[in-house]
Amino acid sequence: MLALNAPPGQGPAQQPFVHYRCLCCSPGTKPKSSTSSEPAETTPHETTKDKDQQQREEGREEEEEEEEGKKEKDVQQDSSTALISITKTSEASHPTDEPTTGGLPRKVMEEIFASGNTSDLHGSQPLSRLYFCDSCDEIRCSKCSQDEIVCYFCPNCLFDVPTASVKLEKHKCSRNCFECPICQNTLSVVSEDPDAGQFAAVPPAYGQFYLLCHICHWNSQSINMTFEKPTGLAAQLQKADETSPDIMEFGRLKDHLEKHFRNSAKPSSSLHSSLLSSIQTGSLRYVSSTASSTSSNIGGLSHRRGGGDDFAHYTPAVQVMDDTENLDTLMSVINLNQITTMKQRLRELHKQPYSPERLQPKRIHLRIKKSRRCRTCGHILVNPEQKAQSIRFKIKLIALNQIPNITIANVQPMIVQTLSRVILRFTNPRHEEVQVSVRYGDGAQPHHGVHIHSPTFSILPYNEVWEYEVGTIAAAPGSVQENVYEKTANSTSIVLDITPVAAGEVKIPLFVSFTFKTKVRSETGSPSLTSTQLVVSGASAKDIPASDADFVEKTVAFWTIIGFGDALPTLAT
Amino acid sequence: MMTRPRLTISNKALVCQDNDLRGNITVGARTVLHPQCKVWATGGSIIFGSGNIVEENAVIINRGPDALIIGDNNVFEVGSVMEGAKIGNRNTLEVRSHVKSGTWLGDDCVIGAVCSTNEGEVLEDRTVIYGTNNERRTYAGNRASNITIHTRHLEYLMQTLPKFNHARSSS
Amino acid sequence: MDLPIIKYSKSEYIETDTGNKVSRKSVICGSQNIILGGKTILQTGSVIRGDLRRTGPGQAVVVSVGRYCFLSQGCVIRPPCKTYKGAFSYYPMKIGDHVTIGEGSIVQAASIGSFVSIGKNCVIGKFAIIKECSRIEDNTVIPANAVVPSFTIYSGSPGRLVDELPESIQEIFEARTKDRYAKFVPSTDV
Repeated sequence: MLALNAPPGQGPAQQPFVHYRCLCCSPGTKPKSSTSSEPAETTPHETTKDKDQQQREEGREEEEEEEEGKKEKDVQQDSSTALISITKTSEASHPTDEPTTGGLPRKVMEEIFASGNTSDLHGSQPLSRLYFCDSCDEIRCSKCSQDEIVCYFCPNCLFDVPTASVKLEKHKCSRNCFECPICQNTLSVVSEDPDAGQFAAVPPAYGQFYLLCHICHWNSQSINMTFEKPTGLAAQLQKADETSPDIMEFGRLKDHLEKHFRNSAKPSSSLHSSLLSSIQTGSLRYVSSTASSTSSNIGGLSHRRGGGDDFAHYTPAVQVMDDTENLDTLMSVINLNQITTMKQRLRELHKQPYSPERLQPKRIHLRIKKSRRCRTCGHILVNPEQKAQSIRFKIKLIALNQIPNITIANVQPMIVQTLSRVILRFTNPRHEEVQVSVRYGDGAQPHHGVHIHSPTFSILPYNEVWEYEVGTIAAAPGSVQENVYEKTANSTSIVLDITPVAAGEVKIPLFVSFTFKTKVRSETGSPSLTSTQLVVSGASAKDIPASDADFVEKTVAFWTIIGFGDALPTLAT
Repeated sequence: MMTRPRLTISNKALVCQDNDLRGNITVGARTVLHPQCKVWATGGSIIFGSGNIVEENAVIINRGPDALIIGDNNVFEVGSVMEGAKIGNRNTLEVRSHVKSGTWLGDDCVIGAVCSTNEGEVLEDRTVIYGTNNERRTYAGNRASNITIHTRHLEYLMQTLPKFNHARSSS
Repeated sequence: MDLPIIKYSKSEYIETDTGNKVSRKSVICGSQNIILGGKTILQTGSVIRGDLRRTGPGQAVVVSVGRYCFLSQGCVIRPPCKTYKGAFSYYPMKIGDHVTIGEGSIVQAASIGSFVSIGKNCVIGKFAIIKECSRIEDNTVIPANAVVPSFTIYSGSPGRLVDELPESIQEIFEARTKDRYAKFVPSTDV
């Protein structure tokens, strides 16, 4: 579970791991259409019904079923009586032979089962990277949730940058944060005089402060860059920047073109202004090359507006150094230190200087904090506090806190055609007791022999008090009824007998469903059991009569893939 | 026949106990040896100039037959390893850096953290070694402020270390 | 996978009232200036320099370490130093809760937030600031004065951002440090 070192999709992991599969990434699932990411009130009920009938007629085809099952679930969850309907189905169908039914309709369960019945690792992730939408009761991953920017901040000084000024400052820190032009490390502001600030009466000497890299000892004095005061360096540099020939040239060119566009652009232009400006800058290249081809290039844009127009020819004020001249200087280089590296040049795209003396420190790029939203129901899954330095979250629906965490407690080296026993520990992060059932997928390739000793069992709720007690606590006598390997505080361990049929990595898909009783939130009711459930909109809670639905049973099913490392072909002696 | 190792410590130097000194070692004035450092003169002797700092877990080894003469005002930071043949003045061996055997260090060199020299390399004055690939660069800039800071660092150590650590004297 | 149980010899470790387990083979200079938060483990050969205290009166605490920290074998915790307004001094270092420092790592940071994992053989430069919920990979060099923001993974020399950590990292680090403390037990045969 904690295998953070094995990111998804990085080839076969040889270390033991437990991955969880998000429904959106299941091999049997079609990628969600764009409509399904909208709020689900728009999902037409009729089509679902039609599809239902179709499905009864047609044979079981994995893909359709899955997509269909999704829609059906969407409808259920978004209708205000979702919780009741789930409960009803659970009462209606309670077969004894089927281990995997709780609150979910059996059909849905089967569809989920069919969707991920394979040992293919694709789309599976460690639990730590997954989310759990508690209004859809489904696992969500980074693909089926969408990011939104919460705030911008500088990763070095950790100051928040207001969204309004981000664009103005070109997504870079406008304070004192620069990266070294030589080694890209963060630069420090240093004073020439170690006694600086000791005597307030002494005015600081002119140009006393400079930037210094602690890694490669690059020094901004070497390019005559010094500062009068140790703060607001970016602003001090900006003055120098504005007079540099290439910036001035860009400004002139922009003025030249803007004059033209101002005259030709109609106020009714439906294009977004930022898009327009990008077209402008994108076309600059053509303008300076040949005026004739320019007019035809831009022509497409102008014709639509109905105005044929020509650009006045632009004469650049600065001449670029001839390439042959550049070549001569490069030919004479005998020491590699006299020339910039590719990496250094690419950091300064618009200049790409060959001489290290011409390299300039760069302002540091800003970073963002993101919130995350479920694409299906639109509820927020993760919402961090807006302050850059805060690590707290206003909403944090991570899977780790809501679905049973599976860890491999014990694994022996596996040998082909030899039975080995592994112990899986299921830990319950919830404050409610959960009933878990585990099923081995028959779609696994290769199909290793797997026997699960206790396919259904219960796990006691999580309780903070246990953390302060030493050692493990066995369940109260009498409560252990299932034939499980071990039952402690909020975890239950079960035994799996695995007989690998082929050498190589042993990965087995396990279908897990768990059922828990949760209190329904009502207007007058007690506060919800977990803080995370507060997010669910109040609308659905209102419609539920509090009397008969104080507790509802919910079932969540998902696929996991568990790797046990390599199986040896024969007994190693 | 082995002669008894001789440890000569200047009156103005500070050599803490709890460190591992072997062989003939001479410690010049204002040189500070932190606890837990290792100075092994297994071959020739090791002679410290003045104003050096050797921090904890730093290792200085002289395996060769000749004496290793360490100049003035060098800093051997935590976990650095010095096996070189010659070292000038005002060099800094940063944390966990490694000066391999036979290396000659000039003046004002900086061996960056976790970087190492090549065996038998001669480093010009003001060379800095940095980065994953041990890139080399000659740096410019004024060292005057560094010298002031180093002097104050020594003053601080001379004042503070004896409060918490026992000092050695010549054997 | 579960963390393995680490057995230690009972004669080597001292357990304090608050559950700190400190190896007798660790080097603690100026112990009166060091605070350990409780349930913190100091393994063999680790060094804490509590003697490098700030000049001037007061300010006795040099190194403060939070709860459930794990200082592995041979790591060095050493306060950073600089001249400020003409005076040279070492400055106190603060380490938060649930912090793991790997074998052979040398730390001269100004502060390390809670829920931080530092790998083996890392070098954390002087006055670096490691914010909460971050991870430093093995063999990384964090330069002096650098800042490692929350929810990031840094690697390389000099250390650079290589990946982000998931939002659940606080729970994971907390569970792991508690689990490791629980599994750091004296061997029965001694």
